[in-house]
Amino acid sequence: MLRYRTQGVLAAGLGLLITGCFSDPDLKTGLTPEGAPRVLAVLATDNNTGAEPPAFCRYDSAGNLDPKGPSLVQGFIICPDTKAEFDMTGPAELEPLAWNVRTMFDELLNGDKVETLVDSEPDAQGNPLPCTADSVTCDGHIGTTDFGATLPFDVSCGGTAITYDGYYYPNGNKESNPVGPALVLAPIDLAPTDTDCQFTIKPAIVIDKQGEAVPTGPNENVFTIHVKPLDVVETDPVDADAVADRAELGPTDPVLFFFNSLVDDASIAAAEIEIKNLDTNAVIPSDFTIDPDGDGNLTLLAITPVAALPPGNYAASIKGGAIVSDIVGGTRTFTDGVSVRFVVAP
Amino acid sequence: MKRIGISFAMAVGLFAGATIVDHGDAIAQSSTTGSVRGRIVDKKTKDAVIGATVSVSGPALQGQQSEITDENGAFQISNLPPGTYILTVFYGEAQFNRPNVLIEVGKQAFVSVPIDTEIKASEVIELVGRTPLVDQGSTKIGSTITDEYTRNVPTGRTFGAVLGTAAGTQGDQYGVSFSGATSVESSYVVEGINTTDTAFGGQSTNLPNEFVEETEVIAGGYSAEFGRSTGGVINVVTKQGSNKFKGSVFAYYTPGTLISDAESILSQASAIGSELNVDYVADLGFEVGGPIIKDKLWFHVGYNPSFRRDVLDRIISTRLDREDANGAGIGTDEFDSCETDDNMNGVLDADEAITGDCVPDRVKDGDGNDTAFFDQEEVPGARVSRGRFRQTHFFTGKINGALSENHQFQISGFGNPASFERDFYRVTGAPESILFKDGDGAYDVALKWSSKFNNGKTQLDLVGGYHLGYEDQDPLFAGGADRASLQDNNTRSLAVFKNYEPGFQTACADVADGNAMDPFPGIRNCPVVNYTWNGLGFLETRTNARTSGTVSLTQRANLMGQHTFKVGADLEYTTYNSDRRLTGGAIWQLRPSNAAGIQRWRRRAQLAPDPEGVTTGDVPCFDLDGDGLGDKTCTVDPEGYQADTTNRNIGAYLQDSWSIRPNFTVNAGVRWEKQTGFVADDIVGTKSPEGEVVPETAFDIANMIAPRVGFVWDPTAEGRAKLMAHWGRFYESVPMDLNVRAFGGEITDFSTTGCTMLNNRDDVTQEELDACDTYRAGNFQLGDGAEFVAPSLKGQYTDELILGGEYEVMADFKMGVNFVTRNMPRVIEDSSTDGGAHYLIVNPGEDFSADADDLRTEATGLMTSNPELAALLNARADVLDKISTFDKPIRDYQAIQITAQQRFAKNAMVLASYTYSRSLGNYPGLFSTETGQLDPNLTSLYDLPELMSNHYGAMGLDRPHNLKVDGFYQFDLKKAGIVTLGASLRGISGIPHNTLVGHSLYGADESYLLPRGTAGRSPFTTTADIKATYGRKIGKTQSIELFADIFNLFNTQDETDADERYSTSFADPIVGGDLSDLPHAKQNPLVGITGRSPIKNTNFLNLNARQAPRSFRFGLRYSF
Repeated sequence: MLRYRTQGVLAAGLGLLITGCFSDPDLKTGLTPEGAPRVLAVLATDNNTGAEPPAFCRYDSAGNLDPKGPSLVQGFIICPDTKAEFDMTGPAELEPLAWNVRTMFDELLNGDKVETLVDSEPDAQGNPLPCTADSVTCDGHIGTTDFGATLPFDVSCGGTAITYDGYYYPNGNKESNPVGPALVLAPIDLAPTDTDCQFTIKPAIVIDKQGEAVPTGPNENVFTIHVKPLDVVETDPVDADAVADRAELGPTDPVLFFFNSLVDDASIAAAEIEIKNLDTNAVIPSDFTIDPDGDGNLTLLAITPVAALPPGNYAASIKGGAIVSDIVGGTRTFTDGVSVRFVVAP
Repeated sequence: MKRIGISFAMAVGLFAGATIVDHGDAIAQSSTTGSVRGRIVDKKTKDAVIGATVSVSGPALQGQQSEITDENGAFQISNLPPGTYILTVFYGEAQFNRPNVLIEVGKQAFVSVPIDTEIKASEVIELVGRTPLVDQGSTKIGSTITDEYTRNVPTGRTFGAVLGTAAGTQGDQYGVSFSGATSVESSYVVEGINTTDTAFGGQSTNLPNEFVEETEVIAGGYSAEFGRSTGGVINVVTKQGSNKFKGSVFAYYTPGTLISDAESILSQASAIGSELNVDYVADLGFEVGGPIIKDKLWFHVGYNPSFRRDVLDRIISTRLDREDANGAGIGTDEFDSCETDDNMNGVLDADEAITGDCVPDRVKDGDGNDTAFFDQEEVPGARVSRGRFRQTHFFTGKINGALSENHQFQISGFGNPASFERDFYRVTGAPESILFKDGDGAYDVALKWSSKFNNGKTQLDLVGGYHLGYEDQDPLFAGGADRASLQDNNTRSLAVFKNYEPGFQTACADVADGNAMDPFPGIRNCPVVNYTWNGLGFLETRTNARTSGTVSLTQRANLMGQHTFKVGADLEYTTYNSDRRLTGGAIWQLRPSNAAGIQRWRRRAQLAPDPEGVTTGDVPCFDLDGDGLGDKTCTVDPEGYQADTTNRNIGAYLQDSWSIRPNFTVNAGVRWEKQTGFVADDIVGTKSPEGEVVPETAFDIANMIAPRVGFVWDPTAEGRAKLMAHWGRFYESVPMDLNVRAFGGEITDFSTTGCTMLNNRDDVTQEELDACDTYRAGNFQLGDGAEFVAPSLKGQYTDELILGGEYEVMADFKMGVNFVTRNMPRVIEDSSTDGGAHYLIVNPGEDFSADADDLRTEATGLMTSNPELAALLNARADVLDKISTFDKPIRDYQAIQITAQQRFAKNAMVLASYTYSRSLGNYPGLFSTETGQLDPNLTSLYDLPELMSNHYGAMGLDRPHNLKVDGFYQFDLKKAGIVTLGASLRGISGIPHNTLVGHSLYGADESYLLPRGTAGRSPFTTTADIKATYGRKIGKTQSIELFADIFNLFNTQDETDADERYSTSFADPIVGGDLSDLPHAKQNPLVGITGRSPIKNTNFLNLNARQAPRSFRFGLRYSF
């Protein structure tokens, strides 16, 4: 019997040994909870289109994308697989009037440190309520609320501090759309066009669930993203080279120029705009109005003839060399001007 | 630390370390018989007795089987039907009889007979002894269910109901799970033929225990002759005749009046709940067998009609506290602060209702946590009862014949056709329009031929069979086939559907949302979601057939020990003919509001495959250029689609059972399998929208090589113990649901109506919807008739390692310990890496870059002649390139089993086991244990890489503690008869729970907000069943038994499952998160509100399933 007992003990020991050799596997869909939280990607969200091109992606020293970094998401490439490919495209820029910044981390953060939750439904008097277990839904804020502020970033654009809100998005990974976990920063203040915005993650606020802080340094907790220059992004009507393709306007119809930021109306002088008869090359007296936020989030410049135009071919222009400023100090010199050619029918 | 790899090398290493101490012999098992082996030794000298003739005979055997002992005194006799035998040794002039040799199906008994060789006279010596209980022939684990067990232990009526007896088994949504595998991965073999459902892999044939001689439940460790299973093997042998007429007449009755009431299951998320009670179950049957020609031709027949009626109570409940201030009435809570019973009459009168924005008081649960709303309370007078009636006609017939002792045959037929009338197909629907009937069941024919040659050293076995399973669903109300299902996908008040709710006036009328009488406009008092009316929706009529044949040749030889070589081949030709249809030709769904607050009706309908891949229809379809608009035109097929599909499975094996010593046997073998799946007949040769011709062959998985190796060592050399190890690889046989769903012509169109007058209306009629023939742009299709299969697709398999031992502690009582580990390194699934634009059948996580390169080469050649097809091939190549980015499948099951068994002896029988196991992974198997989706190899589990997030963890079958104790004891009252008391005790850990939310593309419950299995666990449940039997002999050969069973003696109705839906909102997983992250969870901003948490389901983790209530069953059996 002793022999059998010994064998039984050996068998049981072997079983325990084998059982003890199991642990959680390393999954491609998993995060990296070990170590300090690191930024895997910073995406410049274009709120007009929903696109999230990368302003920063983390590559290793060999130039390969971090294995937990976002590559192919629902059929679209976010971060190219190599640094060389990323550099060919260059970092994304911010749309002046319609940007958010999604900062993706390689692990979950301490949500209570980075975000304030507010009940989505105010009370009967319209006063906000804190988020409780009874709340049906809550909204996250990383900016200032009636119940505190976490403010996990310092944001300055062209040297000016930018206030912001946003939320913590613990959901997601490199496969999801949108990617996560992330802090989503939504500016409240307007950023000057054609300037660099610096986003500094506060190590005292942004910590992981084990209490480790985000590392400091460039491309660790400090990221710089350029704001696109002030530009005309759309006109009505659209310009066309061929006469046959040009839009037909009424004699007094305005030509509309849409800017990608709020334009300082004082920055546009009458001398910088014109309507010209392309058949005679004569400049037609015209007037202009600027409608801040005239259509959605864009600033609208309307150039209108003072008097009804006779039939013919015309061009309404912001003249070459015109210097236009946004309302927070960003400027743009339209070296070649912007013209819209149109037709006034008989 | 790393996960263990179960390697062949490891298994070989175990063999190398084993100690060889003795000499032995073993034999491979035929699936419907058992065998006996042993040694004849001299009683005094212990020397081998050479040249003795050993014969076995018994009532289960036609004639007798004989063998001459070899130079080691060894013998072995195979192909013995299960039963009790007399083993006779003829040596010299003497005859030694050794009775009570028990042969079990699939097992090998070891009998060592010492004889007195000095007896020279012609004497007959009666020996006393017993057959050791330990199976020395194989490394199989599991249990054998005998007639004694099913007669005396409280259990279900059929062999399908006793499978859970074996250690390592547990129930799941579709049957019995073996060793961490989903139930539909098992193989159900009856009379030697595979009767597994060809469509989904579950059980199809079932028979009452009275027709069954033995059921061998093999949970693992089986040899190379068994294939096409990554779960267990259920091996059933029906009763056969004998030289005497024997049989029984039996009856069972379960009266509903003695069944305890099932406790209601109510949901805070739905006003409609249910309660299922048995009305009655009645069985009456007989089985009889006997000789047609003594020792030559026997018969056995049986018939057992079975009737069952259930009553499903449909209950309407509210979140309201309907109790008066004194605590009387329903529930235990007092009035809410916003209720004002001004006239103190104890009820909330209409004029007392608060019409302001009043939310009722919150209530606390047992832990003092705020549960947000009241527990659900049933509305008096709103309960509606409906019957469900099922009748099943079990039958069996069997002929056994022997041309001689060495040439025997068997013909058997059996089946279980049934019809089922039921309603409340969906409880959340209009009661009068959701009745349907369902016919299902199976018919089987099995033929077997067995011949022995060369003095029994060579054996040829031939088995042929035909299995036909079927299911036929039809509506049970007038015009049901033409009535489309209308569904409101929004959460509504039941008041909205009052026209379809006969009991509404007594239910929610006084508390209807929006009603002026609504006392609590701040909450939805009678919520329903996905309410359905008008018609049934999806129905299917199907037949599933398997024609199978196996041939095997067994040869015994001496070469450095005893070898038993076995070589065999099997062939299966399977079909799944499916007629899938939507009643009324479509399902109409009122979709949730878009950003503009508009709810529109969306039609789901089947499109007809087009032989030319384009052309004649009126539905825009197939957006080939990605602009959101269909580039082809298709035709809606109101008849649904009919898919006649076939598969061809071929297998072959070679195995050797090598007894190096009498007590040490190495079993080694290898199995080869090949599975070819074919596209549905109707669409072969048709063209895809891109002009690709649909081929005849859907997939061809060849070269599935499954080695098996193991050893058995008996340290006692007396058959009383064994230490064993086994390593094996087991390939899946892909169920044919894949053929029908992926290669059957399924093209589902989703078109949103353009008739604005139908928007935001849930009072529309089918006629209005049918009359609208304008649809918004942007309809889309799921499926393209025939999916693409990666050319280098490989088979799905499981690896298994078993280390174990058994020891016969005392006569007829053994104990055992097994360590079992299984994993699943490769699976077959449909996957997409381009956001669902293209789905391919692949092995997720594996490298298909070579296939991708081939496709690109092919595409290059088509760029000019067919750019659309070239683009398709390139898109497929892009998907294939990324298949390796999926998480590899993980299904790790580890278990330690402790078993105890006393076979029926000394008036008692015991079968007990305790299993500690863990089942962790990201792939539960052929169905989703969380959502219940049963689409083998075509589930949503691997559809998109993002769906894999948080999938790793405790799976639905992870139930660590599993205790089973069955047994009975007989009290012999002599002339007064025999009283038998039996019991069956079960204790099992609850299932782990999940935190499920909606996925933006896949809808409800497809996203794991927190890692799998981290939302707690249902409680440990126990069940005790008992049985009392009184039996009395009538004359010499007749007896009568009266018995009573009590199931769930203590009427425990504990939770067995909970509502895992955290929210219906769309949200992405919080990868690796825990409960502390939940408050910060957000809706997916692309389809929800930015920065906002998901809308919580107030019923989250509330109970939604219970143990069945206590019931009584009475019966009698007359045996002759």
